[in-house]
Amino acid sequence: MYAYILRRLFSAVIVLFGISVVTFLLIYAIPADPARMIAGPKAPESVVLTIRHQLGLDQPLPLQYIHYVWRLLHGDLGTSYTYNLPVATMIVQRLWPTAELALGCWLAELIIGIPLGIYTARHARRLGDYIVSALALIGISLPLFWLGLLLLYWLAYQVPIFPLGGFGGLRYLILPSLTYGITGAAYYTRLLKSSMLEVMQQDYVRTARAKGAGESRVTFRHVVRNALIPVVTFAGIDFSYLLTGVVLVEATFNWNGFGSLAYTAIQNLDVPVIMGTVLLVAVAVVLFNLIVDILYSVIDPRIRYS
Amino acid sequence: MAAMQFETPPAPAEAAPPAKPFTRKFWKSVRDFPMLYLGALIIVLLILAAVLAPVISPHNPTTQFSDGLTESGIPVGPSAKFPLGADNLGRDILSRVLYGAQVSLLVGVISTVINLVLGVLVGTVAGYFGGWVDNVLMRVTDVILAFPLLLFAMALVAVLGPSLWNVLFAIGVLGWGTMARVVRGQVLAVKEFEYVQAERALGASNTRIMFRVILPNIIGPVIVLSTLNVGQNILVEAGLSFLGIGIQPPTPSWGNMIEAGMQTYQVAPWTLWFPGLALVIAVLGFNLLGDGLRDILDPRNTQH
Repeated sequence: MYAYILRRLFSAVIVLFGISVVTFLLIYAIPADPARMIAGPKAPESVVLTIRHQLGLDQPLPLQYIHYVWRLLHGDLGTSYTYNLPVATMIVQRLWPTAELALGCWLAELIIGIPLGIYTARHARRLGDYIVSALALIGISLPLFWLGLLLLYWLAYQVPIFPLGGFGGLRYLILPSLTYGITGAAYYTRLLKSSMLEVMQQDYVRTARAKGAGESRVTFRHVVRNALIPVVTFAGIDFSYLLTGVVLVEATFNWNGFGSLAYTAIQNLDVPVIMGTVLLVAVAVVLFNLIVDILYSVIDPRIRYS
Repeated sequence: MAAMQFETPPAPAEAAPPAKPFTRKFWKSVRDFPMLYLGALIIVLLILAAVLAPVISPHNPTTQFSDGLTESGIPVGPSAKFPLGADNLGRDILSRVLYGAQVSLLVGVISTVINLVLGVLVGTVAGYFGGWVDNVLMRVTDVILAFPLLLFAMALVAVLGPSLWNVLFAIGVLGWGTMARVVRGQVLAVKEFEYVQAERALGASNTRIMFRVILPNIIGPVIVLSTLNVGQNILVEAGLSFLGIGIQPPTPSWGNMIEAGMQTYQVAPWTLWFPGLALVIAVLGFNLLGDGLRDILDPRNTQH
């Protein structure tokens, strides 16, 4: 098992290295004048010159890369030119609201998606299945931000049940979570349905039936528990969608997390903040998948040998 | 499942009528694959809207009409002059929605073609050669996939500057990860088959085996994935435009129309409804077609 974990760690380090190369190229190699890019279009020439000197932008690219990684390893993501604050500090301050929202979104997805998945599998090829499947397809096709604005219009403006956006307690959390939940649930519904249909044909399910287990006991004790395995794996992939979704949802609902930070940064073309957010998200995706994989190999020994 | 077999009717006399007329065959296949045809119909309408936008639009999409706003500056609702209402600057929403189809289709299709070329190239080479080539290419793919596409494209467009071509280019160059993984998996499965071995025994070059022998045999999943990909990329473009880093106003794109609608939706909800509806229908069209193609290309469904 340790060999597997070590191998998995090694490949994660390689990918993290790749991520740092990509963000480095985006900031330092692609723009014609990186110092101007970092300082922002309106900064005076003296600031640009200082930045050029500070970041060693006159040095060869490989050397610049080493400096860049060195700064990253010390938690230095650069300085926002709009607010003149360290990007890392700005992001850390916004982490908690985003984590709260992401958790809400994820729970909403599961609460909507899992029961519908079980329902469609038990009613496969019947009317209810067709209706839910059609709804799932529409859900996948819905743009998050549009759905969010519609919900705001109906449930916060016309019928003022919920606040019109903003960050706060549970009341503020429900509409944004619901927005993400509706669009994301469809993936879980479809995945659980096909996984359950497969499990239902297994011998142990027939055995359970033959022993006289009731239909709901068979479904919940035998089928669903085994069918959830691919669903758990999907949660790892979903993490990446979730972080993208959170940025869009925050922009729509004016939620005070790092998605809003990125949104404001875009309006000002504040490149250090945009890059900091993107880098952080990519690193989070890699680490999350690493943890999921390692936990998985502990739970299910088959994974280690594949 | 065993019980199911009794319920299925005995095979219909398919061999009996030697030559069905084309129209009957067509309607039978519409009945068998309704999603596929609904998706295709939506896409045809979408293409027509995009191509005919200059002809069928009632107005110029960027003209700001003074009678498009009330005296207090609120956009006017649907009327004879503005069938879907006017937006926050008094522009005709119907015309903007029709022109928006051009942007969505252009970005969605061309970025997918770039995804397709890069993904197929990387996936085929990695799967075919295996070993260190596979290792290197798949780690690069892992890096690409670690960045969520919308945020990745956002970063690249921030550096290149927001414009139609940069958006299209960014989505195209950064969005090929999934395609590469799927193609690699398919190539790994196919490359051990006898017909590939036979081709090799005959002395065919690697390039020939990869692209003339293997590729045609894995084209099904590639087509399905590409179709779904167009819908996804249309959504990414809309997301970028909504965030303000995609297609820049006054050029109409459904994403930036929704962003503009954000300011007026409480007093003029139609500024939100129609661009969003167009977006959903377009994406739904590609998702329906993609799912339908998957059903039709699945060998388990060919007895139909």
